[in-house]
Amino acid sequence: MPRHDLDVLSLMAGVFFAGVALLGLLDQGAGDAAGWVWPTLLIVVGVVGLLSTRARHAGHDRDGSHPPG
Amino acid sequence: MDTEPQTRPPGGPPPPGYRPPLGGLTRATDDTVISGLCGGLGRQFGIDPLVFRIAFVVMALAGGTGIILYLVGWALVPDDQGRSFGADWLPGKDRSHKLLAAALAGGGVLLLLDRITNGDGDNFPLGLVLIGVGAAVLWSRRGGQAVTPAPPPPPPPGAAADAPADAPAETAAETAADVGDDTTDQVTSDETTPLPAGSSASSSEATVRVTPPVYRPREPAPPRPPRPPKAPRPRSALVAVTLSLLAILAGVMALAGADVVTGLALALFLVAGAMIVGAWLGRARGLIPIAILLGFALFVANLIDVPLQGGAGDRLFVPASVAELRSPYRLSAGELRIDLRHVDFAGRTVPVVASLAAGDIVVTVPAGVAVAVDAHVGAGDLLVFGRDWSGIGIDERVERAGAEGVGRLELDVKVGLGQLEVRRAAA
Repeated sequence: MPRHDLDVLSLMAGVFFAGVALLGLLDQGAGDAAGWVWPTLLIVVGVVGLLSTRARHAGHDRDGSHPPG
Repeated sequence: MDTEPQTRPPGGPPPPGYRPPLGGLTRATDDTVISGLCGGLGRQFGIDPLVFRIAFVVMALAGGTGIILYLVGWALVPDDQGRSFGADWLPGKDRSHKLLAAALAGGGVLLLLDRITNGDGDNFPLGLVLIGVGAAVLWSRRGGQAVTPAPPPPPPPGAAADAPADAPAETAAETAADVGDDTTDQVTSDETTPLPAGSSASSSEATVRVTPPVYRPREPAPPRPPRPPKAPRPRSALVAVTLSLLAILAGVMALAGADVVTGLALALFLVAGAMIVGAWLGRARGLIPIAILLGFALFVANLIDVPLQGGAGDRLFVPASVAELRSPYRLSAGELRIDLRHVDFAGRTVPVVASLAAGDIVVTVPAGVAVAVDAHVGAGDLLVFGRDWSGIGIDERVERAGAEGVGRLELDVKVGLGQLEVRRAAA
């Protein structure tokens, strides 16, 4: 499989669903902990998305190219 | 003055100069799943349309808002050929602002209706804010027009100095601003020119000379060139490899006798890991729908939290003694009735366990026996000795005292989806 530009959407979706699977395995998603577990997961996904987008654009700035999309 | 560059006859190709509302947003005809709305949004904002599709699906699942928004967008946003269901219902200029205002105010009304019908006050401030923003958008476009008369016809050249001296400066300025707002091609705005000394006009009247605007018709925009067809992408092996690994995992989990929640969670881990790999290698976006399905199944499995055992159908158990009890009573789907009224507990404490994944359970306990009920309902109704609960994730413990020396029943009952009822037999 050829290496390509960082796909931020795939990365965010992967982190999100990994968190969902972990919560499901720990059976915390629908319990009392849901009040803070789900927001924490969403915050983590958002931070990952922001950092990866920044890293992606920084790489393109170094290359002098424009990221697609 | 309304130059109406946006109006067009119904049907047929858009005329030259046709400018779709909402800043050129159109539904993509070459990237269509349902109507091309998400494709157009993605093209408009330079984002993958999948982001909008996921957002609409998530909003649709979370209360149905996504369905309403999508239908509104489908009706009002024209496609690449300029065809739309509802945009022409809003005649006149500034149609894009009217659409935006209508969408905002409509969203606010929906939230308020939701509050009224469901009694949920969480969305009340947001609904008011949306209505207010929508009204502000509409009002900001109408504010200058309500007090402004129609502009006078352009005077002959050289007549600027002969403008009527009794015309209030504010009105003239408003007129010029309003007309310029419509045409965007106003080229003259000579607002104040002092009269020469000795003029017969009074000083207050002589300070303003307004040159009426000169209009140039808008240059017709060139027609949008047809989009070139997308080049087919090379197929990625990542999705096929992940699906193969999922099949292997499912077989191994079945052989190992793992429970459904564990199997679904591990499968979701596998798909999520493939998506993270796909951020750099191959393409993994095709796995997102699979992950959504697995996540939903995991949520339901966690909610039900009942073993899938005992087959399906209707079951009736009427034990006559403690020795005839067959706890645990299991059923996957159907109706499970356990009638304990003939059991003599003889002063002992007896545990009884029953579970049903989907359907109804009715447990009848003898008169006089002390009872402790631990009940779980994943989604549905719970009725215990006349008290009832409804909803999802119901976990209740109810205790009732009995007669002296009769005995005690420890009842542990679970229903995944359906109804659970515990009643006491008549004495």
